[in-house]
Amino acid sequence: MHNCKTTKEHITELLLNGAQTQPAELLECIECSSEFESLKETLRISRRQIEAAVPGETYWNGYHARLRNRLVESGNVHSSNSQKGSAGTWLRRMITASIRVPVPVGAALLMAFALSLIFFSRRSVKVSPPPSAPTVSVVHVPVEVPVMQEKVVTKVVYRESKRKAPSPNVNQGVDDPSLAKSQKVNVPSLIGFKPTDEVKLTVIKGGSPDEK
Amino acid sequence: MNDSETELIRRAQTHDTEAFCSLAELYTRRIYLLALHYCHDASDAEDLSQEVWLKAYRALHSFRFDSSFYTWLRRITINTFLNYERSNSSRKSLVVSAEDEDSGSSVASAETIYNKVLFDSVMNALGELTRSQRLIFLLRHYEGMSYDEIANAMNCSTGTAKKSVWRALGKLRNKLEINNDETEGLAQLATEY
Repeated sequence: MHNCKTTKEHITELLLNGAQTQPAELLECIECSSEFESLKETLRISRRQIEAAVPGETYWNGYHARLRNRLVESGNVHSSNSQKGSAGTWLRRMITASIRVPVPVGAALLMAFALSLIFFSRRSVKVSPPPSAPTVSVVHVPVEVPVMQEKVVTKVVYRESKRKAPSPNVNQGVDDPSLAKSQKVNVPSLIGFKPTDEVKLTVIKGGSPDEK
Repeated sequence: MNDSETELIRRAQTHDTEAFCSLAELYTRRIYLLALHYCHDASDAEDLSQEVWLKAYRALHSFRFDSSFYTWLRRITINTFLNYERSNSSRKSLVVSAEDEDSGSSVASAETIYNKVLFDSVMNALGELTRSQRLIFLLRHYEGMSYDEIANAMNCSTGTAKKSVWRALGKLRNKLEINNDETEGLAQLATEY
């Protein structure tokens, strides 16, 4: 079923895509056929007139010369800007550069830096001589130091490892005088004991409350 | 893209100005023509078209031969035009005339007069459109771009692109007096879409 409205839309696209002859379906409809020819003519004339606006060859010589000048100027400006820009950029990057450091590592680095500063400052204080100090000459003089020599005396003491069991006869075995002497001190004996003639008993009352 | 053009592009990418000028000479007329019909002012057209070439010169190192050089250049052209429109939106003048071309001849033939009339009609018809509509019409009719490509490049819908083309065709047909008595198809189509 032929639809003129849809066909007209189709005609425009056909012509814009470069169609030169009418499709068979358009020949059947006078209105659409006329539309096709009308649009074709419009596009042909407009294209020709659009192209006719291009200036002549004399204009293009000047145009290309002006374009060349602008390109050269642009190239010079661009190169000088890029040189300045590269130095400036490098400096800016150096100043604004930042890296991420973990807090422990950062603290350790700060500590190490502080310690190294302290170390070097002390060292420089020690090493650097005072500016007004006179030159000191070092003279090596040998000095004799008396050495106290001590005499070491070694005394060997023998100890009895086992105590002899007491003999039944006290008087027996007192042959060894050194042993008898030691027994006189340590072992109690009843030698020389004389019992008394009267027995004297003393009773003490009021001892403990449990006593009867 | 032929070998000589590829060679020119490669040389121009190393900041060889002469090679770039030789490359530009291949397309200056097409770019100038687009600029001329876009801004409808001869001096503005020269500035605008040369601005396109300067931008292309600066950006040429980014050309990777993925498309034809002219396709790449046309995208720069459209972007430059759109930026120009934003910065010069208030300006609208029609300075272009066929008389500029034939000012040396004192006696004009009938054919020349007829061409002048046609030229002025076309320019007047296009002058009644906005710059964007003119550019869309030129990209479709003169550059042969598809509606999708135009919509993508101009950041508009395909419907807007079609409407601009139909409106331009309707105005051109009216100005050129090619109307057939029975149909006002395009003008009607443009208003209905």
